[in-house]
Amino acid sequence: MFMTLSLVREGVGKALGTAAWGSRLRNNRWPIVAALLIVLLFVASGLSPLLAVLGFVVLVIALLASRTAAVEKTDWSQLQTVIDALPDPVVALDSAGIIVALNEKTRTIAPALRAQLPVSVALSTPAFVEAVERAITTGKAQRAEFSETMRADHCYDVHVIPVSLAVGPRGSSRLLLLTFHDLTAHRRIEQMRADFVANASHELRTPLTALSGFIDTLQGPARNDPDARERFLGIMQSQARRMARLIDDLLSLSRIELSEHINPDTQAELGPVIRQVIDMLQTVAQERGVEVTVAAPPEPLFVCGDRDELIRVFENLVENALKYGASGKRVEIRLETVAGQGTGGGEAKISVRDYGPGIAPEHLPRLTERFYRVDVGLSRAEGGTGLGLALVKHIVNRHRGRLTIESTPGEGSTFTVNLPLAANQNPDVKVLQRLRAGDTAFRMLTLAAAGTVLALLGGVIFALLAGAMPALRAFSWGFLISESWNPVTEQFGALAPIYGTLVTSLIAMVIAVPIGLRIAMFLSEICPLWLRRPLGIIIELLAGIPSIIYGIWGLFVLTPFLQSTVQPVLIDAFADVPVLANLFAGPPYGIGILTAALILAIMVLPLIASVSRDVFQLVPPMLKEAAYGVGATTWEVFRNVVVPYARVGVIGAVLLGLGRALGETMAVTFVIGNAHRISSSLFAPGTTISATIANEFTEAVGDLYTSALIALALVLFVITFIVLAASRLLLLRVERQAGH
Amino acid sequence: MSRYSSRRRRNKIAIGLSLASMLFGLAWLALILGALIWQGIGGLSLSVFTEMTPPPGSKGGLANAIVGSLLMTTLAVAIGTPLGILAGTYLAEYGRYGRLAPIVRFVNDILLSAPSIVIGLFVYEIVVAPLGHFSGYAGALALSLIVIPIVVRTTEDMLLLVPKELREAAAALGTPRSIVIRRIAYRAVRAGMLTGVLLAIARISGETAPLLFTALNNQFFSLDLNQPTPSLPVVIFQFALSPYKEWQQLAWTGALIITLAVLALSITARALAGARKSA
Repeated sequence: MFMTLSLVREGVGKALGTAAWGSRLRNNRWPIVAALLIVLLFVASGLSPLLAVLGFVVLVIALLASRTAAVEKTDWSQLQTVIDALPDPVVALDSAGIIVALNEKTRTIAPALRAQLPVSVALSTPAFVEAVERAITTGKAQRAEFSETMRADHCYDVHVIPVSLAVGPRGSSRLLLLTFHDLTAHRRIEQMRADFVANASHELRTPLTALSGFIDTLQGPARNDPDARERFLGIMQSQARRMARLIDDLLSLSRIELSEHINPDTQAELGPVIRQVIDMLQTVAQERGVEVTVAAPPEPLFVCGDRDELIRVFENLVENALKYGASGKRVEIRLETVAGQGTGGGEAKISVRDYGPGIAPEHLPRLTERFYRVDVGLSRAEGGTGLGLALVKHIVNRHRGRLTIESTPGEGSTFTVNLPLAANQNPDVKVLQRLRAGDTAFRMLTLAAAGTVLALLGGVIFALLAGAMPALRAFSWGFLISESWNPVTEQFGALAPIYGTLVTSLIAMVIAVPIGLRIAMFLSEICPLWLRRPLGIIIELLAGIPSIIYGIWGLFVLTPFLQSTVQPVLIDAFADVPVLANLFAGPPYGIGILTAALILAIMVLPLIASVSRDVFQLVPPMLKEAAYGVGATTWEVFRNVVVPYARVGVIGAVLLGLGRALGETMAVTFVIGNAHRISSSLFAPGTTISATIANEFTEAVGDLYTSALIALALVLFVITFIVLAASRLLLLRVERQAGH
Repeated sequence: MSRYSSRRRRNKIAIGLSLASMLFGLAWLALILGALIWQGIGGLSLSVFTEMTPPPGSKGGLANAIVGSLLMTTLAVAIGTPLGILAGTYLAEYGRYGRLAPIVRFVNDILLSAPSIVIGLFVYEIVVAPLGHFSGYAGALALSLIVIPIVVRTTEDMLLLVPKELREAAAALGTPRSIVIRRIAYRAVRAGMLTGVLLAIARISGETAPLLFTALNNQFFSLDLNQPTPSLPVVIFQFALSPYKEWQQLAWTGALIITLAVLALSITARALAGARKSA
């Protein structure tokens, strides 16, 4: 059906299109002249005149057809783009009244409008058609009003404006631009304003008439009739009250309208509001024998809102239900929470349902208008001002809520108010608050953990100080400079362990530093690239082997070897050299200071190597390349470029190794011999701080002994702390330098 | 010409020395590993893992020591890892530009290489002395104090590698900071943090000094960490210094087990880190 209709329309369009041939002939003068000239040439060259005329006709038709095709293809896309961008419905007509372009919004006026159709087919109001024709003939702008026939409540102000547009390469084209301006809302507001003034004055006038009538009566005929006076004054009072109520309602309406754009900033709990409303209306309900029931969730519902205004809303709704739905004998108030629409937050939904006669659907859209009454007489009789629902609507709007009215005639009505829940009840806000609380908690947790690290160091220092106190008190500074260590007489001096610690570490460094740095040099400068990573990892693995392994290896492998092979040779070799004879003296025990130092050297070697390799790798390649570029050898580059650049870091690495050597326990304990004695010979057994603690702590009897050992630990900690702190600060400086 | 050749000679000597040093370093690894295998492999049998540490002069195994070590290591990691990760998170995320972070970082670095025997004494002072008895819990606590600085360091280093854009993209979606960290940053550096934990395990599985005065030792099998608890390193220490052949043999075997475990852990950790780098 639709197909055939559109086919017919297209046919009509084509037919009307051919009606424009006259103008097309005018526009195509030159091709015709050209064709004529060609034919004349043919004639001159001796063809038969009949054939020439025939040829002429064929040529003209062919040319015109091609031109026509060109015209049909005239590009209206630019015009279309402009029209599409306009907010109002716009239609463009050519000079024949055919639609050439229109925008999507015109569908709201008449769905039948479409391109290539005469506009008068779709929009056929006489005033409108006349305006279009007048615009075509006079070339002047016209204005007409257009009311749609189908939906009479819509009306448009139409401007018909002739324009000239440059179209294609050949001059301009005259067009008519039709703009539609929707007057519907405007008209409705005008109507409402007029209604309002009429209604308000009428509403005020009715009691006023009564008042002035009774005043006349009281001044005149009833002047001396006390009974009548009492009765009249009573009526006058009720009329005056009604006027006052009316004016009150009008005033609050305008006040609420004024503040409608301001969100209420207080919170109100809905349960008490509803209870108060029911209490207020208790007498009304009893008079009419209506039972009011409330269904509410157990938890309190808070909404953002002004308590008094909300009471007003529900007072109006419940009162209406009681008054106009009294025949149902039942009014139900229901509170619930629902997911909000659009806002994402939750909403409170309050519905007031009556089982009265209901409201006819045609009244529903206008119920909230001022002074709009379904049944004027009934409303007046009930003392209504006609402003109740208008007030409700505006208050609900101010609360960013919605009022919905559903009604089935004969079954009753439901007035529903949706209000956004207060922030602390809004699930979204709750989630955000929870997230924020989680955020703060997590932050605090990390801070606490960081604080724990700080507290650890503080705790270590404090615990050591506290534990060392008895010994430090007993021996004061003598503890540091006394060599005697006698658990039996409780005489404790730390000099021997301190000496052992320092000497073993220093010897270890003397051995490990040059070798470690050369390993680092090999790894960063000489080693083939493919071998760097595996070798580096091996060195790091060596650094990761537990110290007890070094210890057991030192005890069972290195010590016998030194005892049987190295030490006798050294003792013999240096026996006659003045200083060295003392250093390498005495029986070859195997275990002793030198052995411990060797084990320490082997232990810290990989550490120094891997850290200083890292430092060397921070040297900018450009520096090295520049040095190579001027012909420096690998060694010269290393010695004069890499080492000076990385000096600070290398010192840091060395100190790190020293710190490790000073604090090392297990590797040393196995091979040091544990003798509290300072001997000039490196082969003699000695002890270090950590070895002393490891060996004696569990066997220490008595508080002073224990305390002395802890004091030793304190000394060790202070020494290593200084060394490590210096190392870290230096390494930090290197890292910062590299960071720039 | 002679100056040129002397420079070349000196260069050759330096390179030769450097190469020799490298070989020297590797030689120790070879010597130590060789000795370990040579001495330890003979004692390696199933009974090592099933039998208890023997009294002097008789045969036995290391089962109770291995179990004790595993228990204390597990507990130490369980205590130290979350704390370390949280503190590292503070350093890398919240405190990155604060005044507290540099201090914490410095203190952490000190703790990282502080003598472990001092840590042992500290735990003795605060746990063992007040409670009046040695316990596996004290040992685990001492080990966890060694775990913390390692995990702090690796966590911070890894988190600093997380691209800023990743964080910003998450933040632009309105994600709270803590969730950005936990769901985005942590996920991105999971492998790196695991590396840190593995390195920490490798480190503490060989630690002896902090256990000497905290967990002490125990001849018998016990799962109760409230008792003195044996551990592999302490048993090695005790047995190696003893005059009994059987004990010394067990010490070697234990040393081999520890070394293999530590090497395996370190290599796994590095492989993980390497996989991450190339990914």
